[in-house]
Amino acid sequence: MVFNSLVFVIFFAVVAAYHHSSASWRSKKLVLLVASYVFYGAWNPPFVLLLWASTILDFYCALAMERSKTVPRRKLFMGLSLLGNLGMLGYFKYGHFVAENVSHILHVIGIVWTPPAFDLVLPVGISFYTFHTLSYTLDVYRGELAARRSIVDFAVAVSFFPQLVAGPIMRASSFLPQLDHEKRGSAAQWSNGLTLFVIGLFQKMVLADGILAPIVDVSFQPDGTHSFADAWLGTLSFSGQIFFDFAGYSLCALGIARCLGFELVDNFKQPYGAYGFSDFWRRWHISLSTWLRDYLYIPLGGNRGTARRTEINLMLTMLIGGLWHGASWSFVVWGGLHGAYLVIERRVRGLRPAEPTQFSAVAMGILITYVLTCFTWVFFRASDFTTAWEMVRAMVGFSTPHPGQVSSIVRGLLCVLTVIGMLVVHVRIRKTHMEDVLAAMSPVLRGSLLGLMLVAIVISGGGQRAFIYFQF
Amino acid sequence: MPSFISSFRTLPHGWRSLAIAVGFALCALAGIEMFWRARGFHPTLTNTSWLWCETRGRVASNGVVILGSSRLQTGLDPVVLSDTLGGRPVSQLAIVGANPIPALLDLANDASFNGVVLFEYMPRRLFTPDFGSTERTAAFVASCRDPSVIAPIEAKLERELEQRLVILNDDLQFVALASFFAHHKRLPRHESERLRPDRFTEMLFPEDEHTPHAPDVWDAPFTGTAFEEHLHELHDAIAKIKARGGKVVLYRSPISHDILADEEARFPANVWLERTARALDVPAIDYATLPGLPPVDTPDGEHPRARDVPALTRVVGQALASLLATER
Repeated sequence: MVFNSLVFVIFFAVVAAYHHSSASWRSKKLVLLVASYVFYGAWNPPFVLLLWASTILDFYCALAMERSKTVPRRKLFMGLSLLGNLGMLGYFKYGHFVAENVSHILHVIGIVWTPPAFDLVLPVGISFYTFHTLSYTLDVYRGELAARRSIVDFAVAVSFFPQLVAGPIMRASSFLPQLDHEKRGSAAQWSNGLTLFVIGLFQKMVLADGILAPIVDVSFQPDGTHSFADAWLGTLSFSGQIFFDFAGYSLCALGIARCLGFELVDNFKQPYGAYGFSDFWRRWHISLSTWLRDYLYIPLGGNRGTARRTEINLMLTMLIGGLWHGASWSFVVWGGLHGAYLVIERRVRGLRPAEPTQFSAVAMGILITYVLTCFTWVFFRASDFTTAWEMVRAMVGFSTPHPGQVSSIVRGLLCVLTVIGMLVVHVRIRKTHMEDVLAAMSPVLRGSLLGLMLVAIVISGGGQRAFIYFQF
Repeated sequence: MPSFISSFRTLPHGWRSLAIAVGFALCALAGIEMFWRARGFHPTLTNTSWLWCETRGRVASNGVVILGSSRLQTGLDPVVLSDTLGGRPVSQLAIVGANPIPALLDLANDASFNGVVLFEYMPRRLFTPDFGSTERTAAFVASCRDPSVIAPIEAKLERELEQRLVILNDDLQFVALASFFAHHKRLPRHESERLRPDRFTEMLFPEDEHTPHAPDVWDAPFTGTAFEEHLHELHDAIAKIKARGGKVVLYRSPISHDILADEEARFPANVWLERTARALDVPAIDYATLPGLPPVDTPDGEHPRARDVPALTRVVGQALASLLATER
């Protein structure tokens, strides 16, 4: 089920009505759990079984770890949790990728081996809920979180429908305590939640799907030829599409959870207003970058070792972060480029430690960060390396002379205006929070803006494209 | 609460601004709806893959299936064709802007289908490698295998709204309107097409408007390879349908203006239609040689006016009926 659908509106109305009834908190949690499974099962019912397997495995592994008297036993159950979760993720998401690459390597050394056909459908959101649930066993293993006695509470935390398939990636340690006491949305939470939901839908349906996606689809067509202008238009449009698509989903998730009385983590903070790449990763997909920082980068040694070791840790984290997005070398390249940017920035930052005070210098830094980020998006979006390479070549001026693919000037112009608008907003409010900006508006202005967004949602023609991050 | 949880800020007068938003949106949408209705627009369905899947799901085993691009979706009325064929069920499965080959493969692999396929002869699709038009049909076919439980319900809900609200018309969506305005320097005066639940699309050209395409409609130059590949695919699919007692008939639909001149210059129909039919071992119907065909106006060069379609369909239906009788 997707947020931008009529079925979801009916589904949410039913869930919210029960959630705000006089029923007991326990029964409300059970209804939330069932609703979350319905939400997930709507895509492909059998995949709910995987969600159950992951939930049951981690619930009992955490209990067993807590009861273990010896470190090896704790390690055994932690290993079991890792093996089970990463095993499922590996099989469904990376099985075909690994088999194909093994086949290529064998071919190079003269052995012909055809990998078995992996005719598998990737379970929606498996990377997200695997990270949700792993954060629980890892925290229990480290002794930072007590194992839960109630499997219902834990199952709700893993499967809570607003954040189940595309995040934000909630840590068990921040969501489980919210289940201790009855939650229902206050009037303020409802008005905030609905406001965020409308803004999120506007970003997704109007900006990402209605305006930017058609140009991106044409520009990134495999086997297409790309002119300099088309390549840049396609890439800039994708930088906007992926932001509005994913940030829109996150805002919807935050808003829906808030209507039910829950708070989720912020996932975006004007990322294209970032000055440098460490700043970018503090603003883009925050729940993933902090997860990778806490459960991968720091355990690898973080920045506690030599400068070289820190750079290796950074690179490894970003490469794995890239691979987390998808089983393809293009995602590894995307992660690798970000890793390289971070390493270079670390070295440069030694020469210039703090953000400059002059606006022109900051603006230049933001622009450089944005343009370099755009080059990484080419690898993220292109369906194969040939297309990505052709796009990059065209972007740096090695394009083949031809009339171009994007024939509609109006569509192109709308994309450019949307991207410019996005950049201006990100830079203008880079040091504040979107909700602060909304709070500073008069109710009439805020209401009129939201009203315009609602009208635009209805007449946008964005259709029902799936959210991009569902595929991860 | 942990510090990294979203900082919940209370919006001052939150309910008031929401009430203003809802009131504003309702008034604006009602105004827009009335504006378009006053200009003569009517509610119409959207040409989605789900509507296609529903029609595909209703294909009768011995029925007639129309496969092609927009030329056939706008050019053959399934109700009239069914009447002409004595009540034989007819399914309109042509897809705008698409190459029908994946749909033919789908029917060929459907062991229960032993009916008749009216397959569009369109040189642009058959003889040149296409960019995306095959994928479009393949995506429609694949969407019918979507395991989602919710998608059919969502499609039905959407259709209920589309049948009632003009503002959901694709032509009136923001980007489409902006493009129209930039091109014509005015808003559309009435709807350009109307999609029926049986997927037949009525083209509603203004009487005074003739906007034939320029002859740059070809995606790519003719290559013998593409022709051979397509013929090979088609031949196998047709063989499967014929083996079950089914039939495939090629159909060349009316075209005019630059499109006709361009197609005839590249692939004269009297040579290439016959050559293709012979290669595929199937009969062919050419609109240009149909006896008793009334004048068919195709203002944009390839889509007939809705008012001309019943007569056209009847003549095609009679030709198909006599072909089937001869084959029998």
